[in-house]
Amino acid sequence: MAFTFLEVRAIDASDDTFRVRSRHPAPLAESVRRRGIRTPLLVERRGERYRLVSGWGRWEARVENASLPCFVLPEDLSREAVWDIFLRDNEAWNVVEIGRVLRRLTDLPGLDPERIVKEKLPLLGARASQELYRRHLRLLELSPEAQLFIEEENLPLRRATVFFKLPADALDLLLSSTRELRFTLNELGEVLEMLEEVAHRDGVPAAELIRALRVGTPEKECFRRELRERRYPELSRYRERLQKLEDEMLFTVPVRIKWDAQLERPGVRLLVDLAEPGAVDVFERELAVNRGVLTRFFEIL
Amino acid sequence: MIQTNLAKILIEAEVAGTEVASSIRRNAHRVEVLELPASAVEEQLRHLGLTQGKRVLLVKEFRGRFFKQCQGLKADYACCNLHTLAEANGCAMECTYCILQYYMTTPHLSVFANLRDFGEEISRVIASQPDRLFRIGTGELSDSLLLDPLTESTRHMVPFFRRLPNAVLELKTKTDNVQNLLDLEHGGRTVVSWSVNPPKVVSTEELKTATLEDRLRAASQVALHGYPVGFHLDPMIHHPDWKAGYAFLVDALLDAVPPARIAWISLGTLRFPPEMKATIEARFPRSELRYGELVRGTDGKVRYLRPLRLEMYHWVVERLRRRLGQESAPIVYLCMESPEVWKRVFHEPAPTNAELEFRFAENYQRRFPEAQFLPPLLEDYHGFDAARSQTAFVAVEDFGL
Repeated sequence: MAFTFLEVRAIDASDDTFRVRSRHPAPLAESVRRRGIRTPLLVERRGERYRLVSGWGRWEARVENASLPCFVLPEDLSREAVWDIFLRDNEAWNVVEIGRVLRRLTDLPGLDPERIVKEKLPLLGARASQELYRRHLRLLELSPEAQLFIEEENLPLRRATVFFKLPADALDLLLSSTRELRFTLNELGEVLEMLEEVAHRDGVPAAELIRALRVGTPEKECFRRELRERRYPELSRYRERLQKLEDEMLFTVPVRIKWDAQLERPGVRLLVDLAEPGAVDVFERELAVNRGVLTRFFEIL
Repeated sequence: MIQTNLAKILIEAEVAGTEVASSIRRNAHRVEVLELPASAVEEQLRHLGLTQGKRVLLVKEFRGRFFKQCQGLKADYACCNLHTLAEANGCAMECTYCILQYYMTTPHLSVFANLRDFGEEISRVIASQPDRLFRIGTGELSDSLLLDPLTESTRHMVPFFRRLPNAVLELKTKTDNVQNLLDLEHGGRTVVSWSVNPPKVVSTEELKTATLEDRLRAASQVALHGYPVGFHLDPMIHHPDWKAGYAFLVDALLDAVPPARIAWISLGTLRFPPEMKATIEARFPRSELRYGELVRGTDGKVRYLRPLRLEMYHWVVERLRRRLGQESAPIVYLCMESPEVWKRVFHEPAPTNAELEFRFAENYQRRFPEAQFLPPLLEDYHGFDAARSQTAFVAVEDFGL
């Protein structure tokens, strides 16, 4: 490869064949601003000008009117060879970027999906698997908002594919809610799953469900609680009944009433704070008064 | 007959001369059969996914312990002390809830050809406890009869168990592959059992299995040939019209096989490790299982809410009681449930594992005298209990609110 310095105007940045990343790390821009471009860009000649192959982050952080250090790729390289150089010159791909690369590779003549899986996925840091190939490509079917979210959060593929559970309109609505309600990623995954399950079970569009849950702009915990109640209506009904029973019980001694919220463990536990001997008699009397209510716990538990 | 749709059979050279290998070659018809050294087999099996793996059968020597206690045995459960025999691994049918898709590390089917070794192991163990009746099942990591048209393994196992003085073989299946059984001398010491569900559940969640009708026809057929029959209503699936579905099922199986010929009936509801949910969703996107009200149980598996499970059990048990009556009824029991659930379902304290195992032995000996087992004594079963943990209050922190 020949090394040279090129004027900014010699590089045609409108050709985005190799532009895959939508954002670059802030430290890179800061470094370029302070010290200039120290690692040469990779370019290939295109008539009078040059096409940028690798180094888009450095390019974007460039100082205008600077001379840019560049390696010029040999002109007799095949398209596939240029892509291989590009792939080897970059790393730390997020899952959407991998999808973008894979899509562009499928357009190369002589490169079939089997070869892409076997030879190119490892260059992208992914295992050579047909299933992974398909899933990465499928991410590109998500809306731009969803893709942006995945990229911003740098979600692994396992988490990103959960986004397929909802149709585009519902997903975009949920993602905008996520920013407002500040779901963690785990909470988002749980919410996505429950939304899909409720929507499917009840035959309700997921977007409608999200809107209904967002009436009155609730806080995160309210949103999640109401969604869980819709997802688990029987469990919610039983819990409501048990809570009502708990509210019916009257004690003057401090008593905590505990029961398994998942209803799996049988029985109910009373934790009594007996601060003085007299409290024992009081508790005994009050227990007798509450016996009927206590017994009703066992209809469920 | 349920076919396996095999694409390839690999026979390890070390077992090429066995009867199982001979049977397979004879019955393979158009399926490609390759005999390879064990070292070359690995290359054939590499890169097989779960679905592709179901079309490849490996015939090999098994070097571990064939004979173990049921892997479902846990201290939290009231357990029947079933023993299992590892005659084969893997299954070509596709039940959406099957634990094998989560559990098995090898996607292909395997059959173990060293039958003589397992025979020796069983004989040694049961001889060491001559007063105990062992129930030994082959359908834990595979279907007992799916591969039988190919391997003819029942032609060896059934006569072998006929000669054992204190063991009963259980062949558990979702197929109707009973042809090889019909001319065997079983001596009442082989029980053929079927996992069953209402037709709607079979069609949506038990793919590539025999229809309920075919299973019951096969059950009726083996019953006519003197085999005791078992039924496993497991897993029961909560679905719209589940009551009508399970009522129909109970009536259908009791119409197919007279109660006097039913050895046992087990009940269990859907349960699986929570991590398996993603596998079910990926492999069976049309399955409705994951939309149920499944919560994490005390054993870590997701299950229906306990009140829902109790409702389902009550419904089925009541129907069974009405049809079976008291006299000479088969054992009805729960699988993988706590003693507390057992008590709520049967309105009596759960037996210990040893007591339950004794009840199985007593019931079988009394109701199937043709098996000629000696009457069991309860004291011979003491000492076979797993320690049960307390299912109730262990610590305040256990109650997550």
